[in-house]
Amino acid sequence: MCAITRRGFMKGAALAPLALGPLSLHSQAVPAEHFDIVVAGAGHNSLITAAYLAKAGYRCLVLEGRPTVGGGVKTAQLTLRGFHDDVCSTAHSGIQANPLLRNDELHLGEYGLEYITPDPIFHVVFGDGTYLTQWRDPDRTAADFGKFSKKDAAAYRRMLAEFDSVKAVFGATSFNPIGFGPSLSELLAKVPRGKLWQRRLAMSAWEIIRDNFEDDHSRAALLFMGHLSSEAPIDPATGRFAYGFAGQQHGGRPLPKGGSGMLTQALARFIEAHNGVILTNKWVRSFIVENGRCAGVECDDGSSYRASKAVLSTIHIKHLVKMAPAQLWGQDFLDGVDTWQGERTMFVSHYATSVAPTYAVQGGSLTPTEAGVIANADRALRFGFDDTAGVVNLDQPPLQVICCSVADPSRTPPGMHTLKIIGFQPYNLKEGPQHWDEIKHQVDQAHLNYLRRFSPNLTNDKILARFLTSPVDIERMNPHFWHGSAHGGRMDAAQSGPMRPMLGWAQHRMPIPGLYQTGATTHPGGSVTGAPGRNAAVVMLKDFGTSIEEVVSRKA
Amino acid sequence: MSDMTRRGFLKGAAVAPLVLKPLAAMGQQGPGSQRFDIVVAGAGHNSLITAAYLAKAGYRCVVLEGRPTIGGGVKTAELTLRGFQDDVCSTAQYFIQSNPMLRNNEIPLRDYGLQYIDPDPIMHMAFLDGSHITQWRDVERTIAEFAKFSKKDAAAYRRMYEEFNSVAPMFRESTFTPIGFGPSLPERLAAHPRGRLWQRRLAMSAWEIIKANFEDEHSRAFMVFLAHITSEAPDAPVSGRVAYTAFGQQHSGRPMPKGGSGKLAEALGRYIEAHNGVILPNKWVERFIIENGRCVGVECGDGTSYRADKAVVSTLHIKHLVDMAPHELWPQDFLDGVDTWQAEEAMFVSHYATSAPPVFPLQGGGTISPAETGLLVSPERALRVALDDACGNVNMEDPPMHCICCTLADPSRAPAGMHTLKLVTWYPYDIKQGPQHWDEIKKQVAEANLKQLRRFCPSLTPDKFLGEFIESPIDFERMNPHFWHGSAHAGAQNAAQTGPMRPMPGWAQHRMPIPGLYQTGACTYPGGSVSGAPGRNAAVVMLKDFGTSIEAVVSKKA
Repeated sequence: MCAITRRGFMKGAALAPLALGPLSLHSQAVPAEHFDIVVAGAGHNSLITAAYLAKAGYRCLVLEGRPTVGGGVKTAQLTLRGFHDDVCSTAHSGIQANPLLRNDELHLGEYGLEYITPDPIFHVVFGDGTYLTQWRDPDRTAADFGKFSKKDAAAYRRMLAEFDSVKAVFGATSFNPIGFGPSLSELLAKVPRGKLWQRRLAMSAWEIIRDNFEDDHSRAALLFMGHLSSEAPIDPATGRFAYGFAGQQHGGRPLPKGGSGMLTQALARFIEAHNGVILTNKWVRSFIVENGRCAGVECDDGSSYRASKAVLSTIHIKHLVKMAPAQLWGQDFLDGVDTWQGERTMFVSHYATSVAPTYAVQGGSLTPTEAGVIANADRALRFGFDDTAGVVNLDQPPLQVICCSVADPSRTPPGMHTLKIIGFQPYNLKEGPQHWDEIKHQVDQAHLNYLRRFSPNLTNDKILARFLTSPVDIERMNPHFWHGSAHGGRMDAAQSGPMRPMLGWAQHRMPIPGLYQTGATTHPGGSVTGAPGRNAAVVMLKDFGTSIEEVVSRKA
Repeated sequence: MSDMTRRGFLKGAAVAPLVLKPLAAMGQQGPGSQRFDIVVAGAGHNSLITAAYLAKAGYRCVVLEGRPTIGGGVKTAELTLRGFQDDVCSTAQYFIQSNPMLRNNEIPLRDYGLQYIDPDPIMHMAFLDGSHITQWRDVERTIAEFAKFSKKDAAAYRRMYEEFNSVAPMFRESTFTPIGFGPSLPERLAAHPRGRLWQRRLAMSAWEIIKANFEDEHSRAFMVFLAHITSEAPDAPVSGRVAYTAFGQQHSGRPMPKGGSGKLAEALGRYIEAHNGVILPNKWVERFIIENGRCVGVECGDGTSYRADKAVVSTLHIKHLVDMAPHELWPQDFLDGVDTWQAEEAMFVSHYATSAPPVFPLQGGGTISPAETGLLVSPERALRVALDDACGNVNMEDPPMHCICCTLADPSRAPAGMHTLKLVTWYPYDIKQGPQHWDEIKKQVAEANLKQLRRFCPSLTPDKFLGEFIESPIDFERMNPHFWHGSAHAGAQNAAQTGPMRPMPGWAQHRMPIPGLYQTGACTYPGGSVSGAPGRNAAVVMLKDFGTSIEAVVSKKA
């Protein structure tokens, strides 16, 4: 077992060949100013919380250990100068339903955020060379299912309609802190067939897909999309992920123009424009606790910052508990951290290329922004097992293939492309996670070779540079990706809802008074939703005697 | 997909080579034009328990069983050769030891012939490298077995046993209380000092708990084998409780009724008859009689009908239950629940009559002949069962196996010096070629299983085998339609089908949508296995609805 500590990480990070240019964020000088709020870590969630607090008039200081803000929502030149790669997240589907964007609460458009929504949404290629394309037009998508089975085309339409009937319920639970509104079961009790939905949510995604779709291609496509959350589709209580395909039919999979990191850049600009300060290269080492209350933070460079109202953390809980004496956390919270589980992990290759991957389709070819390669349904069902068993399975490896420059040419020099290939491989190898350093080139080559069976134009001469991140590299890159977990840790029954991060501590208020927590280890978890960020703001503003509604309705 | 109907089953059952003889103790076959308060459709151990409590309360019960013998999954029969008493489905009966029925002797079944044998060792596990872990009734002796592999694991076993004992009463109370009739398990756990940790554990997977506590592959294999023994995938979320199976049986052992599993059902049958009840075998319930929207009786396949003044109790599988009354009487949410009901990982079981028991060599000399043995080559092999089940793969490579030889503990089950041997393995019902294909391949699968057994137990040479009876997952369903799609526990016992969701949210209290109709058996809370909990819980609900209580009935003089 590799136990990467935050200290150990610093050493590793110095070696990691990340070419992250510092943002042009101002004032690296440490002012002896007064801050209401100190924010430890600058991911998209903590930036959202800080943005709402700044709008409310609280003076915020955001401290980020790396040279750039953004955490998992970051764009950088990983391969060659002029090629802007999304370091972690790419599509921003979940956040579109966040009131932040839906109601334009923070006017991020004025701070440079702009979305591009590619069409087709997603192109799935199967082992037998056939394919299924999801278009923005639902009828065109249903017709694609119809190529394989009329029954499945009807099932897809039915699934879309069913999902629409509960979409608002899912939204309401995601964008409300735990206990700040009715629970999911209470809300479902009010919709027609709510009991059926309760059953479905507790079932496995596979059971729902198998019982509704008959063709192996339809099943494989839905399983693949469901798995993008990193939960195994044969596991109980993954039913929601059967609707991953349906969920993105209406909103698509939008990309910020210029890269995923443009969201965090816009948030940072908003904070700075609202009297906030953002300091990079500030590695938070410990909390300052006075009279049992969290009153500020100390950084590795010896500097310290005090908060007169609260400290907000987005540090992974496995590291969080080391930042204050153990006895301050309470046994329950420590038990929760101790039992916290890493998720199924990704292996990501970034390439600079002179072509975009192109797939053969009837009557020509297709060059989609996002594609998935999944041999068949059985291969998709293996997702959980190989990870649990610690097996690197290179036989027909499922791949998510993203070429943002197809939809957004601004990311590269003219005619060039950024290509990201995501494979799904375990962090915990039989030989230990460090073994990844031995095998990562071989695994990358196997992924690329498999992709070439479907996109033969990606010959070696078209690949100008590459940057590989194995599951252990992903952790080295950002200690919040604990054990390679891009979503902070599993999003299963044990770590969702009131259990995230631990029963009794799901309302963003931490056991140490004055300390709040946001980020992927809080409800509703990882992915670019901004929900943990806005929800934390809801709780903090309430504790400060106001409300998010009141803050949002203020004139800018 | 095989869509086996109850009618189709009747045809299949006629062909199935089961030599089940009617029980001698069963009462009169003539129904008479008698009045009954309660009509019970199906005679599994749960519905018999419900009927026993109702009979004790003074209600006149008639129990209708479609097969020639009562018992359902708790039945013993001569499957291989005359004189060899095989357990058709269940064998060890350890969950039921904590049922108040036995624990408090509420129904004095010993007076009706029930007697338990408690084998020691409880469970033996042999590994391909020649090593083994034996679970003994003596916990210290068991801990020493783990210490052979790792001191840390020995300490983990002790610690987890103590931890389990601290919550076992809460688990027990919630198991033996109908849904909504007492505090929920989370509410009970709130009173425990580490209650929140236990809630996390229950929501985790068993494998996550086992992996975090045990470091050695042998220890992990032992724990994961037992976690999987009730056919739930140990790496599935919300399977945390089965990580503690080893400790549940460390506490209670794995007792078996003397004479066979079916002795429990027989004792219950005798008890009901002694309390003015009537048990009629060969009575296949075909439909419910509904009058003014109320269930008032049943009609059987032979044209007879039976009316109930107070209530009808069913233990029919819910997939068949909904065909017993007009569709419109079942509300949409109940039908949705039945429609989405999922089968479990199915079992493939071979019964043998042998002239020798299994003998496992011990590293460093000597041998052991335990009543129950687990064979698992690695923890990962047990985790693969769920994947193979989902894909419909018949994976004959190193099949995990549960090897049971009851005659070692109970020689009364076979002629002198002879043995009954049951091999339980896990293979999917829904194989790629369709479940009917099992008839083509079952001999081959049984041979592969035997070959695997002989790697651990070379003395069981082919000449020791006198007779055999092989049950593929589809044979299970043919034998008893309650084993829907080969589900020996009636269906998956996972997050979607447990607690208030069993069988469906809103319908977990044994009261069915048709007034006058109650449901018990493995489709109801807390589910399958020989716990008798669905049976006693249904009695709790019915007696309450009848204006009395189980406490009042139990405290009555017999």
